[in-house]
Amino acid sequence: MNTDAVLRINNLHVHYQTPQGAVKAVDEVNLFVGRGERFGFVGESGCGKTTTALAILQMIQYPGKIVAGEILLEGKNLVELNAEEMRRTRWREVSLIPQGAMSSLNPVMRIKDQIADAILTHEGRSARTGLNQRIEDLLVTVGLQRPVAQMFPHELSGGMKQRVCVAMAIALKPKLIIADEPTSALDVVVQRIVTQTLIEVQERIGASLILIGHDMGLQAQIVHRLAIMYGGHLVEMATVKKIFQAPQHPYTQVLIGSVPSPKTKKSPFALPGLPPALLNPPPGCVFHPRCAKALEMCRTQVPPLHEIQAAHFVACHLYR
Amino acid sequence: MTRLNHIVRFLASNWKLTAGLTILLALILFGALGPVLISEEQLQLGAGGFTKPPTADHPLGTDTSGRDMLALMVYGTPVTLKIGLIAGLVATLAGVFLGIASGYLGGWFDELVRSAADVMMTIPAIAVLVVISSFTRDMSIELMGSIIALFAWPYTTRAIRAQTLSMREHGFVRMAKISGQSDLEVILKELMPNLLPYIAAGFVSAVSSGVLASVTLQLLGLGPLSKPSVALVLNLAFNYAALLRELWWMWMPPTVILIILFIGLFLTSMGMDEIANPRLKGARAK
Amino acid sequence: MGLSVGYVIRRIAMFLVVIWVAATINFIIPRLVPGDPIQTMLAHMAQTERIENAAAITQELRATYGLDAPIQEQYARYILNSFRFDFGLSLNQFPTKVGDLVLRAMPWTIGLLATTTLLSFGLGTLMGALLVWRGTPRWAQVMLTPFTFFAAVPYFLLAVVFLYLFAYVWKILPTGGVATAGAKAEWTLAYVGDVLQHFILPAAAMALAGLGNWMLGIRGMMVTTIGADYLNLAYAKGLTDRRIFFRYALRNAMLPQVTSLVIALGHIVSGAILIEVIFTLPGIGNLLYRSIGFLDYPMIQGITFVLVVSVAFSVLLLDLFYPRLDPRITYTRK
Repeated sequence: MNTDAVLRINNLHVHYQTPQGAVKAVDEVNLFVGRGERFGFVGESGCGKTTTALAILQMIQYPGKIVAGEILLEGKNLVELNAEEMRRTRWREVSLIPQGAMSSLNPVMRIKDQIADAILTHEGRSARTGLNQRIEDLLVTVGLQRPVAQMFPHELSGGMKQRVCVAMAIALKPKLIIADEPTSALDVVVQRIVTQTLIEVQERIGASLILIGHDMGLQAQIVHRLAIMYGGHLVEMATVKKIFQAPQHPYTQVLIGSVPSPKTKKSPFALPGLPPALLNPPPGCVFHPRCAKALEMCRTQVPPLHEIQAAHFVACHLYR
Repeated sequence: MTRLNHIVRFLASNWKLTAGLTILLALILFGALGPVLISEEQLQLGAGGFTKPPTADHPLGTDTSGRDMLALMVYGTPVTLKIGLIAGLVATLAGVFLGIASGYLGGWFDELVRSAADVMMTIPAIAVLVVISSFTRDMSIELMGSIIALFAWPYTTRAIRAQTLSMREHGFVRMAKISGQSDLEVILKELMPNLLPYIAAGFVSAVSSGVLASVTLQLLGLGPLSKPSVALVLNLAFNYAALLRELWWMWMPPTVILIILFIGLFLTSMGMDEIANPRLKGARAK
Repeated sequence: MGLSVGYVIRRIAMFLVVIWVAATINFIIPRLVPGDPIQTMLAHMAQTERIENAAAITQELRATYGLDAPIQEQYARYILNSFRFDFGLSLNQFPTKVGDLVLRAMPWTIGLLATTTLLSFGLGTLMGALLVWRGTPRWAQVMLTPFTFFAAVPYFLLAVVFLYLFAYVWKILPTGGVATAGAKAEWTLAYVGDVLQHFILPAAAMALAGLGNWMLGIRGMMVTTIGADYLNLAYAKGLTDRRIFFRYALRNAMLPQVTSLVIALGHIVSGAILIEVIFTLPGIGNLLYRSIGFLDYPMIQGITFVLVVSVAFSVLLLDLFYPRLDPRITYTRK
């Protein structure tokens, strides 16, 4: 899988400039996503998972800025593309299923026009023939009915809107789909169905999927591999199996321990202290103030991401 | 001292409000201090010869009835301001009362207030004002202000109602209600302090539209005729074709004063909006 | 979806109510003045004008207002006449019908003001939206900003300043009227050009003053729209900046502006009385101004009634067509 990576992120740093100084939203992130792979991104809000996703799309907004690193999509460095080249890359090669599907559709445009917009922009006039049929087929693929094409967003339920977003995301058969907590606003039953649909269409077009979320349980059922982020750092990355069976990083261990199960009745979250202030992060490992196993060196040295076993990466001084 | 510092820093951060208030203050002082320097006798008909260009005695000349132009400006500016203030005050009071009541209580009262406001907003104020003032030839300043307020309250009411509605759903209002405060207490202690910026912004814009309506009416030759107002003087200049006859001192002073007045009101209003709606401040996406 | 029959009927009923209220106000106000309304009118008129045919006018007024009939009948007749746009005869230009004078003045007013209103709406909306758009170059934003300050000064003061500078000081444009004195009103290139030249100054004053207001209006809405989720997704879709600006941002930010535009079109007659006075244009505004000067009561009432109707009618049209612009509004229930 290593050789056939669709996406490769090397040494990514994203900073937000504020009057008080730079906020390091993403700090030294390295990862890759294989072809057809479903890759999960987990962490608390503000840990940098969404920022990393936006960085792939080059949609970091001022005052945010990618200050260092490369983002290679099939070997093409997205960071170096100019605005027009990047615009052509978006959606055609990387699409997005947004977090707020409820409000992500233009309220005054019919569904078909919003999907057509994406198709026509990237494929040009020649795509006009059979466009309506193609859009309706897309809607059917995600489990919607054909008349939905003629509707306006306000006429759809939350789950239907999310399906429209899924249909839109696969319209151009991109190599990579980024789904940013795509189901967080839906109720549990709908969540499950939409997720199932997402997996089906992703497999059908053979795209890779990055799924961003904070729900470890949900991720475990969907993705192949997981990356755990904390305070802008990627702290652990491995297959779901390894992460759940043998979590290495103390933070991952807390996260796994917090997944509720009927067998062990324990308090769901046992982590003292608050998430780190990214404006003024603690020196050394960002996690050390909350870490039960912190060593002396954790206070001074930042642990690099290290492959402790085959395809199991951890950033922690305990495993050097 | 720290309080003063605080105010200074605030004013420096909102130059529009500072500039606007300064301009308005200057106009008020012009109207308040002027009478000390110029006696009211200068307003007498024929006091200084008819239609005379500026001289040492009459720095801005005299009008066709022989009144001193500077005296007209000094005594006329407060009249214009006063009508706008009365209109703004009445409209704001009505807006606060009706807006909070209809937003907070809802139900039939809300329905009634909203319908009334909707109907009032579709009636062109100037049309009705023209009819009323053409039959009431010489109305008082207070009456004119109140009549103008009759058409300004729907705007203040709507703005305050909308804010009340959104605040009613906020946690702090619900908390106060659950903790057993009476409706009146909730309104006075929780809503009012948070509504203040909107009320202030609404007041300023109500004064602005009040001044605009009164100036428009007076330029048409309507409204209080016994008191010389700046706009009435300009109306006189129109009637005597002052531009055509190159009597610049007849139209230029009132025009300049009115332009200054409107710029002052505009800047104050913009500055208030920035406080009430901070997102507008230096609005520009990056 | 769409408009329910009940809604349309309700809206039309509302329109009729507004007109009825306006006509009633017109009926009541003269009667609130103490004494015989016609004697009062004539007395007021006598203060300003010498009345030559007072007897004829008195008789005519009595007939118009039907003052000898019982009050209910007076009222019924007045309302009926109002709905037929029959306001009797002008006192100033006796015995021409008020309706005829209004009709004659109308094209000038609508021709000048509808054009300038639409022009300043289009330009102002675009300029105000560009003011806060992130794709707008810095230099363009710096150039656009000063135009918002035209919102500060009312159009009539701008008009006086323009008139003074362009017509009197620099003498490059005519001082007023619709055509050069003595020019023959006909459809020739020369005459039309002459008229257009006379329209430049009033149109510029009106359009510039409106421009600033439109810019400020759309700016506030645009700031809100720019933060919307659907704009973010539009970027992710790789749409061109131009398409996002027009179809996604401006299209949504404009909705409240359209409401204001329709109201403004309804108000053009009343909102621009002074422009016609300052530039001596033969439109409704000037007619009203002169009627006020002469205290030509039937004229004043007739014109103000037209003003109310034009606004009410615009609002009615807006309510009937707005769902086409904003599909979220369905009006099954209000």
